[in-house]
Amino acid sequence: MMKRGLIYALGVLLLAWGAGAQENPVFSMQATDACIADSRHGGNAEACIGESANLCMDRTDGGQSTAGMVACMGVELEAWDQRLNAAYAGLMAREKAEDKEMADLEFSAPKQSPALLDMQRKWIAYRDARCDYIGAQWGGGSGTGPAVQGCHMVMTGKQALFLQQMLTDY
Amino acid sequence: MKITVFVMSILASPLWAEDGMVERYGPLLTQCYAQAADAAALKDCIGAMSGNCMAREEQGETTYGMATCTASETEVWDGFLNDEYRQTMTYMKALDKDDEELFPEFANRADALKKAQRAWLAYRDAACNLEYAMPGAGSIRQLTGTGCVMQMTADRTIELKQMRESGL
Repeated sequence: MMKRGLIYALGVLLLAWGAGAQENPVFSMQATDACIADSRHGGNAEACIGESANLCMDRTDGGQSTAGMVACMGVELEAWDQRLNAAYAGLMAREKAEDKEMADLEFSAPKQSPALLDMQRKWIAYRDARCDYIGAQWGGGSGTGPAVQGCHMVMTGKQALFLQQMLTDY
Repeated sequence: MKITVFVMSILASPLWAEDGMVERYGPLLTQCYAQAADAAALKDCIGAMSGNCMAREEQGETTYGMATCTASETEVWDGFLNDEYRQTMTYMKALDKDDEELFPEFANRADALKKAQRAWLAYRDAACNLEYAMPGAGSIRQLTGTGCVMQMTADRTIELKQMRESGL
């Protein structure tokens, strides 16, 4: 009981401290994008996810607090989420057109667009379940928020890169 | 004519299909997996077993042979994955037990692991089904599909191992 009370008190304290940061994270995707540009020659673009959030934590008042970390990762998560949606929309449009073309020619090739939709739905369920599991490791401690937020940011970034790759590769 | 050739090539090779491939090439992977020091070394283990199988089996370079060699490597990774999952589950149950009395609301690690693994499995199948559907027509789709299952099964195995070894 004592331990839990302490954890909550600490959480409230950190939340209060980070409240300012939460409203105004100093953020740009520039660091992540520069890292990705550098990784084009054999590097790993996935390792660039979180670069901008890290910089945001350094530059924002209270950026290293729990709330500050969550806020900074939240903005990068949002940026990745937009990229994911854009890549997904591009892929879906293309695959629907290809499905139609194949059907018009009476080919029996498996349909691509329902498979894409199904994959993305299952990915969302997997993302949530995996990040819940990561969160469960913190036993309610104040690290839970940043850990879960980081998990969502990294997974969303990876999926955005994966979909972008599919859009250029095939 | 085409169909006859296809049927004959299948008929000519039913025996080696499932027969002994895991026994013949599995030890290569088992050794690599046991000796790998970190995630990068573990990733390097992926594909060597099936590659060896394709190079040495008489029909290993046919589409059917490649798919079967890949499936036999997947079988070995699947065994590792079961093992990693079981060990992680045992650890999570022990942590949950410690919390059960004072913080029962946080004794949810084992349950969360089970849900995550179930969701991963559904995601893997859907992702590989998409890969199978994507690369146009032709028998190459047999390879992208089976290769995807092998890669994702290996990746998940390595992830669980890494998480367990770092205390997650």
